[in-house]
Amino acid sequence: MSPSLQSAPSAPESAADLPATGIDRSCRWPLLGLYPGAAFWLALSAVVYLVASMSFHAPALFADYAWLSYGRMAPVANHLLLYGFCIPAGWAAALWILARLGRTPLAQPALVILGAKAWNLGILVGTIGLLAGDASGFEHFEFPLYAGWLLLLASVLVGVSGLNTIRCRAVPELHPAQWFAGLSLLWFPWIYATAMGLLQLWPVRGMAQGAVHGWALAQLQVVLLALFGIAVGFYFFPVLKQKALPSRHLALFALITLILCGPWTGVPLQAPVPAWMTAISRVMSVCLLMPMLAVLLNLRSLCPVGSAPGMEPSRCLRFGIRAWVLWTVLVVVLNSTALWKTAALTLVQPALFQWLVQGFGTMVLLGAIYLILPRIAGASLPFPALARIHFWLASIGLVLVVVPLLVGGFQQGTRLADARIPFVDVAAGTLMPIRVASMGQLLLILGHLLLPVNVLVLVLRLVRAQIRQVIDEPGGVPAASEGPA
Amino acid sequence: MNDSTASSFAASSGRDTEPPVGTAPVPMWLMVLPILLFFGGALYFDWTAAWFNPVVHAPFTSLKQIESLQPSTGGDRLLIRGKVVYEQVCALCHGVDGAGKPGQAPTFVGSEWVLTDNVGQLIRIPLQGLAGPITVKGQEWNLAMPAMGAALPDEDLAAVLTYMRNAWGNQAPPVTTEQVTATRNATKGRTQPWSAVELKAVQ
Amino acid sequence: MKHAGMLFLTGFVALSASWAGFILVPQLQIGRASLGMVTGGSDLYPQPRPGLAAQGAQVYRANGCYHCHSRQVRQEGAAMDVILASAGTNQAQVLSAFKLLDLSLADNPLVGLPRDLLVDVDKSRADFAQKTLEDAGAKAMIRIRATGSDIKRGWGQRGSVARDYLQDQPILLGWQRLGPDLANIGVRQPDPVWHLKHLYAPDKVVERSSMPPYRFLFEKRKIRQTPSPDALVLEGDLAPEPGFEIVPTGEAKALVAYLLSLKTDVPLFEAPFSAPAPAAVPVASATNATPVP
Repeated sequence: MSPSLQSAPSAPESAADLPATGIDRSCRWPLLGLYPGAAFWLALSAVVYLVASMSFHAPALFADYAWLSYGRMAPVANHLLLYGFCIPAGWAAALWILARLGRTPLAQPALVILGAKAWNLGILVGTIGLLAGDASGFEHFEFPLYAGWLLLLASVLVGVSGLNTIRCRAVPELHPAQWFAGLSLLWFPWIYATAMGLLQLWPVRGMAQGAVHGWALAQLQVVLLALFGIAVGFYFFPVLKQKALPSRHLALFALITLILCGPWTGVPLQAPVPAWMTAISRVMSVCLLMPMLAVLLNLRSLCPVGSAPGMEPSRCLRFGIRAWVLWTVLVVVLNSTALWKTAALTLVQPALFQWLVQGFGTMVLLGAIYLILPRIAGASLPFPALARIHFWLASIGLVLVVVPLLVGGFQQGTRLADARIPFVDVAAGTLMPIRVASMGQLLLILGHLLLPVNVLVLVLRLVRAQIRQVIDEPGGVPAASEGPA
Repeated sequence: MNDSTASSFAASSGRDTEPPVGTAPVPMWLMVLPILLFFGGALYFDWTAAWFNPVVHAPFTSLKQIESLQPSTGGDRLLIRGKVVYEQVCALCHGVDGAGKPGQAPTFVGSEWVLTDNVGQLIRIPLQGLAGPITVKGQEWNLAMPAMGAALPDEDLAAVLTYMRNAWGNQAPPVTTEQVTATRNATKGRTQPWSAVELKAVQ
Repeated sequence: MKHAGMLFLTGFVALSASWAGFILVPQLQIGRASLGMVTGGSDLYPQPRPGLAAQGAQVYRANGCYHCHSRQVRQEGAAMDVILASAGTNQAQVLSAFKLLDLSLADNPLVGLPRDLLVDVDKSRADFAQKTLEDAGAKAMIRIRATGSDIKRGWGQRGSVARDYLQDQPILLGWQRLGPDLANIGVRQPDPVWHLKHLYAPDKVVERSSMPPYRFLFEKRKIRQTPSPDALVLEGDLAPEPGFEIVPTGEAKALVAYLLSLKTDVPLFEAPFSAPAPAAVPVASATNATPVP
């Protein structure tokens, strides 16, 4: 074993604990099954977003190619971001947190490795399906059935490993981060099976589809992303700051209010459904204030992390949590005033989606990746500077994407509400914000391309070290843990 | 590569310790918040959501409001339903205009059999049919009408009779579903069509 | 929460509650709804889309048209107008009814009938006015109309309701209005040739349109003995070189059939308005409402 690993357990952990490095090593190959795919899909999604937005710069550019048209490119980009990156990266973080806090190696790592392969295959097949015109027609649940089965299988495999890790834990009391991480594994199979089953396999009739879709959307975006993000936040903020999470009770309050209110927030307020559904959706959206305040109170005293040189990824974490707070404030303001009427059916919707999924979900999970990778690899990141550059490019790019869409969306809504303005003028007014957002998208592409570089070089080095180990000292301990030779 | 950053990434991996979790209480104002939101939400729901009524869509907030906006003509659901049933079941012989057809079916327009106060008579005709001689508005008929209404639900039979009693210039009180149900029960078991004489005897 | 069992029980309860509330109940309410009856008529609504239009819905889905077009009309309220249809025989009595109703007697109110007497009044005032006028021997009608900017734009005569989508799978609701709403495009623009041309070259049909052309739904081919009857008539730089013609594929024809089938212009109990509709001249006539010669 390398010296750095041997010195590790000397940290002031309680004697009964399994050395953190052993736990990390049990997570190495399962998580390295999830991360490269996630990194690749994230970079690809950024590129596809730009290609999709080309239809607003030069409408006739792709007129002869069905698969390059906006209606097919936009769902591909959304799915690569949400399903390609956020969910596997979230699971990776959740699994690692469960193993770390349970003081137990990851249970059944082979299931995760298998699950990662099935998942990435599902994303690939689904993307090809979308390009070929097999979209289901339900925003963010557009992957066709044949890809959906793979995703569902993968989620069950990963979930089993995670739940068994909870079962085998050496610490009986669950840490709040474990609550969120554990539930995040339970959540996806259920919502995806419901959406697949009731929207595609045995479709319900008429607007009942709209209800199922709204429910699944809220579960995916509002609840699942928050479960991932809060798990990461509740784990890493105390660890990085080396200070206790102030309150288990606040965490419980946040969890209960999140999973009780979140699932009801997905029905758009203008949707042609009976009034009781939109009324509940509106009330519950305002109630998202509760989990947000509880998390904010809990993390407030831990917040100024990131001054130390090794704390760069915590910038991502902080940005992400702040983005979530801001998103919640926006949603609460929109839903508690008449502003929702202006925001409905406009660019405000994609702006909020991007802010939540990229600003909160992606940022928090990026922070988690940059913190977890060196630990499971037992080696430093190949290019830590790139991680820093990634953060700056991504955060600036994201603001450049979201702010124009948000402002343009409110302008669009105001003009839509005035029937004296011809619609062509309203539509023309949306072009400028979308074009500005494309500039931000360029920065996002540059940033997101840096993640696969770090991940792939790290994996290559690990593989090379392992091979060399086997050649050099047959029968020796495979310690692929040292950095580059 | 920045060496200090790199080493701190690696070094931190072994030194992670998870600090314990504190047990600070949830502040009182945050405990009150769910109660406030619940009451506010319940009030809003009560005002706008029509209590799970499947028909009420925004911007309407109650069934009463929608009912008040129904156009006055054609607002009567029973009559509309009756018109649909009439045109499917009766109009073939009696005509869409209720005027009947010579040698085939007598008229309904102003017919004493349709406008009768003794609705029991009227209900029996579609339930079991009518055969033999009958006088309608002074004209003699001798035909057989099958039990066209036997298979109709009580609501539909009431609707079609109400429609006949109020269409084409006719004006008579509606036939209720309860009256149809009562008559159907009273004549249960009868398969023979009625004759005009028998109907006259019905009270 | 110290035990995993408790944790998953909580999660299960929360999931089940929302599942029951937002999936089960809507399925019982909407999924099992029967066809409705058009107000004032005997037609059942909605009717299934004819075969070609049903295929076109799948073209609409496959190409993600719902990413830019919504298919839902928003209604902000309802208004009632009172229309005087005829003044009857006793004009003096009608004029005194006018006085009772606080209506202006200027400009000889009984000329040029039918005319709007009261615009956008509430139910009780409309009923009172109607009754007062009819007691005076005049004939008055109440017109109910939906209000809101979508309706002013001519995008529909009423707000969309759940029943409108009963025959659709998938419902293709759309949540963006980068293009105009299409809930009633079949009423607004019933010309199939217009639609085909618009799909082929949107900016040539609607000035300043930002819609991308869908040329992949068309086929450029050599003219055989006789030109195809389906071929688009194109002028200027759009026209293909001599000897060639632009013919819509089956997908394009199906898509247009679907667009023409998009109509929600009938009054329902839950979405009342009186037909004939108010003369809502669409102000935004530079949109798809523009007919092309």
